[in-house]
Amino acid sequence: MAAASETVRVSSHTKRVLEELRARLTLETGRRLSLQELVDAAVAVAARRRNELLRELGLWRPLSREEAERLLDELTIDADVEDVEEDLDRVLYGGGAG
Amino acid sequence: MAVLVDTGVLLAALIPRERRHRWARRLLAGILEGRYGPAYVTDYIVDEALSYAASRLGRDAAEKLLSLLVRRRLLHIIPVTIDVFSEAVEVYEAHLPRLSFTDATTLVVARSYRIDLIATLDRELAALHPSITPG
Repeated sequence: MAAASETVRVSSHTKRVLEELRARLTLETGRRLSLQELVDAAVAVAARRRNELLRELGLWRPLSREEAERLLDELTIDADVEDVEEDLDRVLYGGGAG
Repeated sequence: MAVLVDTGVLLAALIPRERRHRWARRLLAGILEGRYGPAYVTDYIVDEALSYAASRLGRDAAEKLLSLLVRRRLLHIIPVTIDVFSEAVEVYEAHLPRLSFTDATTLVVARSYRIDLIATLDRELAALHPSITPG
Protein backbone atom coordinates (compact mmCIF):
# COMPACT_ATOMS: atom_id res chain seq x y z
CA MET A 1 0.00 0.00 0.00
CA ALA A 2 1.38 3.45 -0.90
CA ALA A 3 2.22 5.71 2.03
CA ALA A 4 -0.16 8.62 2.52
CA SER A 5 1.40 11.97 1.67
CA GLU A 6 0.48 15.59 2.20
CA THR A 7 1.80 18.59 0.36
CA VAL A 8 3.46 21.17 2.61
CA ARG A 9 4.23 24.58 1.16
CA VAL A 10 7.59 26.04 2.17
CA SER A 11 8.64 29.68 1.96
CA SER A 12 11.08 30.79 -0.73
CA HIS A 13 13.65 31.37 2.05
CA THR A 14 13.30 27.77 3.28
CA LYS A 15 13.50 26.47 -0.29
CA ARG A 16 16.73 28.45 -0.77
CA VAL A 17 18.19 27.11 2.51
CA LEU A 18 17.35 23.55 1.46
CA GLU A 19 18.92 24.01 -1.98
CA GLU A 20 22.08 25.49 -0.46
CA LEU A 21 22.27 22.72 2.12
CA ARG A 22 21.86 20.13 -0.61
CA ALA A 23 24.58 21.77 -2.72
CA ARG A 24 26.99 21.84 0.24
CA LEU A 25 26.31 18.24 1.19
CA THR A 26 26.81 17.17 -2.43
CA LEU A 27 30.17 18.97 -2.50
CA GLU A 28 31.22 17.53 0.85
CA THR A 29 30.07 13.96 0.34
CA GLY A 30 29.78 13.49 -3.41
CA ARG A 31 26.23 12.21 -2.98
CA ARG A 32 23.30 14.12 -4.43
CA LEU A 33 20.38 13.95 -1.99
CA SER A 34 16.76 14.54 -2.91
CA LEU A 35 14.93 17.41 -1.23
CA GLN A 36 12.61 14.80 0.27
CA GLU A 37 15.55 13.04 1.95
CA LEU A 38 16.82 16.35 3.32
CA VAL A 39 13.42 17.36 4.68
CA ASP A 40 12.88 13.95 6.29
CA ALA A 41 16.32 14.13 7.96
CA ALA A 42 15.75 17.74 9.12
CA VAL A 43 12.41 16.80 10.69
CA ALA A 44 14.02 13.81 12.45
CA VAL A 45 16.74 16.07 13.87
CA ALA A 46 14.15 18.67 14.97
CA ALA A 47 12.12 15.98 16.74
CA ARG A 48 15.24 14.88 18.65
CA ARG A 49 16.36 18.44 19.44
CA ARG A 50 13.18 19.69 21.02
CA ASN A 51 14.88 22.52 22.94
CA GLU A 52 16.38 24.10 19.84
CA LEU A 53 13.05 23.71 18.08
CA LEU A 54 11.28 25.61 20.88
CA ARG A 55 13.86 28.40 20.62
CA GLU A 56 13.57 28.58 16.83
CA LEU A 57 9.78 28.82 17.05
CA GLY A 58 10.00 31.56 19.69
CA LEU A 59 8.09 29.36 22.16
CA TRP A 60 10.71 29.62 24.88
CA ARG A 61 10.92 33.02 26.54
CA PRO A 62 13.13 33.11 29.63
CA LEU A 63 12.47 35.92 32.13
CA SER A 64 15.01 38.53 33.20
CA ARG A 65 16.35 38.18 36.74
CA GLU A 66 14.12 41.07 37.89
CA GLU A 67 11.02 39.54 36.26
CA ALA A 68 11.73 36.15 37.85
CA GLU A 69 12.25 37.64 41.32
CA ARG A 70 9.16 39.84 41.02
CA LEU A 71 7.06 36.89 39.88
CA LEU A 72 8.23 34.68 42.75
CA ASP A 73 7.51 37.51 45.22
CA GLU A 74 4.01 37.84 43.76
CA LEU A 75 3.34 34.11 43.99
CA THR A 76 4.64 33.59 47.54
CA ILE A 77 2.34 31.32 49.53
CA ASP A 78 1.80 31.99 53.20
CA ALA A 79 1.63 28.46 54.62
CA ASP A 80 2.88 26.80 57.76
CA VAL A 81 4.68 23.94 55.98
CA GLU A 82 8.25 23.07 56.93
CA ASP A 83 8.73 19.95 54.84
CA VAL A 84 6.60 20.02 51.73
CA GLU A 85 7.67 16.54 50.51
CA GLU A 86 6.58 14.95 53.75
CA ASP A 87 3.38 17.00 53.93
CA LEU A 88 2.44 16.29 50.30
CA ASP A 89 3.09 12.60 50.83
CA ARG A 90 0.80 12.63 53.87
CA VAL A 91 -1.98 14.72 52.30
CA LEU A 92 -2.13 13.03 48.88
CA TYR A 93 -0.78 9.54 49.48
CA GLY A 94 -1.49 8.87 53.13
CA GLY A 95 2.25 8.82 53.93
CA GLY A 96 3.07 5.78 51.78
CA ALA A 97 5.16 7.07 48.87
CA GLY A 98 5.95 10.15 46.82
CA MET B 1 20.16 21.54 28.21
CA ALA B 2 16.64 21.21 29.61
CA VAL B 3 15.15 20.69 33.06
CA LEU B 4 12.03 18.99 34.40
CA VAL B 5 10.77 20.58 37.61
CA ASP B 6 9.24 18.32 40.24
CA THR B 7 6.32 19.26 42.52
CA GLY B 8 8.38 19.62 45.72
CA VAL B 9 10.74 22.21 44.21
CA LEU B 10 7.83 24.29 42.88
CA LEU B 11 6.08 24.31 46.24
CA ALA B 12 9.24 24.86 48.33
CA ALA B 13 10.17 27.82 46.12
CA LEU B 14 6.87 29.53 46.92
CA ILE B 15 6.54 28.68 50.64
CA PRO B 16 8.98 30.78 52.73
CA ARG B 17 8.65 28.57 55.83
CA GLU B 18 9.70 25.43 53.96
CA ARG B 19 13.16 24.39 55.16
CA ARG B 20 14.61 24.28 51.63
CA HIS B 21 12.89 27.47 50.51
CA ARG B 22 16.00 29.57 49.89
CA TRP B 23 17.62 26.85 47.82
CA ALA B 24 14.42 26.11 45.87
CA ARG B 25 13.62 29.77 45.23
CA ARG B 26 17.11 30.48 43.96
CA LEU B 27 16.90 27.42 41.73
CA LEU B 28 13.43 28.25 40.36
CA ALA B 29 14.50 31.85 39.67
CA GLY B 30 17.48 30.47 37.70
CA ILE B 31 15.20 28.07 35.84
CA LEU B 32 12.79 30.88 34.90
CA GLU B 33 15.77 32.93 33.72
CA GLY B 34 16.64 30.08 31.37
CA ARG B 35 19.90 29.01 32.99
CA TYR B 36 19.01 25.35 32.53
CA GLY B 37 17.40 25.66 29.09
CA PRO B 38 13.67 25.20 28.51
CA ALA B 39 11.82 24.08 31.64
CA TYR B 40 9.17 21.40 31.72
CA VAL B 41 6.60 19.89 34.04
CA THR B 42 4.22 17.03 33.30
CA ASP B 43 0.45 17.21 33.54
CA TYR B 44 0.74 14.77 36.48
CA ILE B 45 3.03 17.23 38.31
CA VAL B 46 0.53 20.03 37.68
CA ASP B 47 -2.22 17.74 39.00
CA GLU B 48 -0.20 16.83 42.11
CA ALA B 49 0.68 20.47 42.91
CA LEU B 50 -2.87 21.75 42.38
CA SER B 51 -4.51 18.88 44.27
CA TYR B 52 -2.17 19.42 47.22
CA ALA B 53 -2.69 23.18 47.14
CA ALA B 54 -6.49 22.84 47.03
CA SER B 55 -6.66 20.41 49.90
CA ARG B 56 -3.90 21.80 52.13
CA LEU B 57 -3.06 25.40 51.22
CA GLY B 58 -6.36 26.98 50.13
CA ARG B 59 -7.78 28.79 47.16
CA ASP B 60 -5.26 31.66 47.00
CA ALA B 61 -2.34 29.21 46.89
CA ALA B 62 -4.03 27.05 44.26
CA GLU B 63 -4.59 30.12 42.08
CA LYS B 64 -0.94 31.17 42.43
CA LEU B 65 0.21 27.72 41.38
CA LEU B 66 -2.25 27.73 38.49
CA SER B 67 -0.76 31.03 37.40
CA LEU B 68 2.82 29.75 37.60
CA LEU B 69 2.21 26.35 36.06
CA VAL B 70 -0.46 26.98 33.46
CA ARG B 71 -1.56 30.51 32.75
CA ARG B 72 1.81 32.21 32.26
CA ARG B 73 3.18 29.49 29.99
CA LEU B 74 6.63 29.72 31.55
CA LEU B 75 6.96 25.97 31.89
CA HIS B 76 6.06 23.61 29.07
CA ILE B 77 3.55 20.98 30.15
CA ILE B 78 4.33 17.53 28.78
CA PRO B 79 1.27 15.27 28.73
CA VAL B 80 1.60 11.74 30.07
CA THR B 81 0.67 9.78 26.95
CA ILE B 82 -0.40 6.16 26.89
CA ASP B 83 3.18 5.14 25.98
CA VAL B 84 4.62 7.03 28.97
CA PHE B 85 1.87 5.64 31.18
CA SER B 86 2.59 2.05 30.15
CA GLU B 87 6.34 2.44 30.75
CA ALA B 88 5.67 4.19 34.07
CA VAL B 89 3.67 1.16 35.23
CA GLU B 90 6.84 -0.94 34.82
CA VAL B 91 9.01 1.66 36.61
CA TYR B 92 6.47 2.03 39.41
CA GLU B 93 6.29 -1.71 39.94
CA ALA B 94 10.08 -2.06 39.93
CA HIS B 95 10.50 0.62 42.62
CA LEU B 96 7.47 -0.02 44.82
CA PRO B 97 6.89 1.45 47.40
CA ARG B 98 9.66 4.06 47.14
CA LEU B 99 8.38 5.97 44.12
CA SER B 100 4.90 7.42 43.69
CA PHE B 101 3.26 6.79 40.34
CA THR B 102 3.70 10.49 39.55
CA ASP B 103 7.45 10.12 40.17
CA ALA B 104 7.51 7.10 37.84
CA THR B 105 5.87 9.17 35.07
CA THR B 106 8.35 12.02 35.75
CA LEU B 107 11.27 9.65 35.31
CA VAL B 108 9.88 8.13 32.10
CA VAL B 109 9.17 11.58 30.61
CA ALA B 110 12.70 12.80 31.46
CA ARG B 111 14.18 9.74 29.77
CA SER B 112 11.87 9.74 26.74
CA TYR B 113 12.19 13.46 26.03
CA ARG B 114 15.96 13.44 26.71
CA ILE B 115 15.61 16.05 29.46
CA ASP B 116 19.04 16.44 31.03
CA LEU B 117 18.07 17.22 34.62
CA ILE B 118 15.23 16.75 37.07
CA ALA B 119 14.99 19.46 39.76
CA THR B 120 13.66 17.55 42.75
CA LEU B 121 13.65 17.25 46.55
CA ASP B 122 13.08 13.50 46.19
CA ARG B 123 16.25 11.46 46.72
CA GLU B 124 14.72 8.24 45.35
CA LEU B 125 13.87 9.99 42.10
CA ALA B 126 17.25 11.77 42.02
CA ALA B 127 19.02 8.43 42.28
CA LEU B 128 17.45 7.31 39.00
CA HIS B 129 18.23 10.29 36.71
CA PRO B 130 20.74 13.18 36.69
CA SER B 131 19.15 15.70 39.03
CA ILE B 132 19.49 18.98 40.87
CA THR B 133 18.82 18.37 44.57
CA PRO B 134 19.41 20.34 47.78
CA GLY B 135 23.01 19.86 48.99
